[in-house]
Amino acid sequence: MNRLLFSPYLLGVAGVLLTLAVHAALPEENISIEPLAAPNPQRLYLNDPAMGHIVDGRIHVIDTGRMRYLGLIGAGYAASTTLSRDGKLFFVATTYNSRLQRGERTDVIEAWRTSDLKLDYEIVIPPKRAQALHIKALVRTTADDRFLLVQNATPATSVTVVDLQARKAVSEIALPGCWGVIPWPQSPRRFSTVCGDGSLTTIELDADGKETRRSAGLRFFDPDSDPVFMHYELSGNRLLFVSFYGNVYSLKLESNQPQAEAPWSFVDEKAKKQGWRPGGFALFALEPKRNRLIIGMHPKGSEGSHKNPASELWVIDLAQRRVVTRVPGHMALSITVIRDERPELIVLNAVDNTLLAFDLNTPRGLSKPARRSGPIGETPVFMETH
Amino acid sequence: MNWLWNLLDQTVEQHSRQLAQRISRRSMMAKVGRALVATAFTLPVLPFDRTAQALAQGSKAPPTDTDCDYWRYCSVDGFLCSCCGGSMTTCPPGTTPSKISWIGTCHNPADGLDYIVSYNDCCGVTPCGRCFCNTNHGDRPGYRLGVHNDINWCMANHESVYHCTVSIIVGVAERE
Repeated sequence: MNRLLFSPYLLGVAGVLLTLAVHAALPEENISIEPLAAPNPQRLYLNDPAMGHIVDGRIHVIDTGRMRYLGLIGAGYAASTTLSRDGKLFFVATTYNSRLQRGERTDVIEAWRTSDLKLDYEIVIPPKRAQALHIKALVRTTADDRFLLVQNATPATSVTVVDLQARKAVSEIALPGCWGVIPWPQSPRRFSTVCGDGSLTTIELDADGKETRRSAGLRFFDPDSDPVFMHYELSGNRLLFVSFYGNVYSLKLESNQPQAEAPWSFVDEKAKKQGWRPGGFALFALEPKRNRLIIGMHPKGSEGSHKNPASELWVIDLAQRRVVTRVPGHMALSITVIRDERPELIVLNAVDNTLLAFDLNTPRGLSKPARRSGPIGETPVFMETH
Repeated sequence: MNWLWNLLDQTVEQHSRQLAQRISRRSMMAKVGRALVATAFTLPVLPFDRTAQALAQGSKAPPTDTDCDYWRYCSVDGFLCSCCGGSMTTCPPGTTPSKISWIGTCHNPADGLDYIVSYNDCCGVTPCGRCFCNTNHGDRPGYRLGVHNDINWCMANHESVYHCTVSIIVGVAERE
């Protein structure tokens, strides 16, 4: 009897019956890759160096329209990132060691396709790039996407010029004491950098990516008494910086020489007495439609508080040079604006790593988030959108 | 070209040291011997402020060498080596001290003196991941690289992966 019960014949019949039962419940499945919608203005790339294991940084790709996690780009050691101007490629400037935490250092530019988050190509560059918490001035493309400019620190500071057509590093430009690459919006062979004496230096490249002209010494701020954050925004051809004490410094990137404009403060006397100061990382963003600057602010500011998350967000009308709105800050570390027909503000909350979306089209849109994500990543610092 | 870049590195390193000293002394007069100049400074690295979380934990007993608000950590930006198998002044076993560093000036409430503190990184092992602090006193953006703490100060080491940060007293700063 036992022999009959466990015979292969009966077991086979049972198996078929079981399979049929399963089929009746759920269809067979095949593994495939989730389709990725074409990039749109709501697509956001969140740079997370993952400080606790920084050899393994990440770029989280998020659809802020639905606050949906779309995917991840592995980013190596302290990566700096930027989108190509045409939005087709996401460049990651990073470092790999041959044995993860030791061995030969290789610095590389990776070009990831935004259409499918696959690696399109890579370019090995001299192993000198600044391994820093990412700010946008660390790596940028020129206005025509021909060259990628990479900030170096060894600690001597220089800029590597990478030819994205020839796919190779073509020159290194020594810029001792200066920091950041700021391509001119309408001059594809020109970029500026901020120097330690409070001046702007501008470099002109030739068609091969080599320096042909340099203009230095345009003093526009005092780094001892009123240092500017290295985060910047462009309003047309106007380059905007904000200082630790809430002064706006602007320079026109036009003609042959940049022109510095008179600085002005958006912190009134009462707010100054309360110690209100700007703070955060990518701490301000431009709302281009109405030419307004939104900035993270904290009260009782003191030496060393310049990276504090925001207690409030202040909206500054750049034409009127005054604060038009003050709203809760949601502990913003970095903010960015979705450049859409209906612009939205995205806030990265420093405490719980959530993203919050605010409608910038209605007067009360900043008072309450329209959408909120769950916590994302470990130590995210910087956001970039299409 | 390499010799040129090496020369530039050395020059920048020297300038960074001088700048760091100058900035620390802006409101204080530093009394530091040659030992300071001979010391390879190194620096704190990366991140940003998680002060909010620290504050959320509430006040507690006097800070110890594993607390971010311990006096000599006034400009630390990274993981405390005290939590990683080292101490305030020693790198954990298996790591390598960084060749360069930056300094801060911190007030010791116990004796009322201001001290110049060299923040050296320990390098060559994946990050410790314990006791993260970011106090930013005296930190400035990269155009003042010698006092910039959002960058990897293991950068000049052959094995440049950041592990943790020590805080070494290198002199007393006197008020002008």
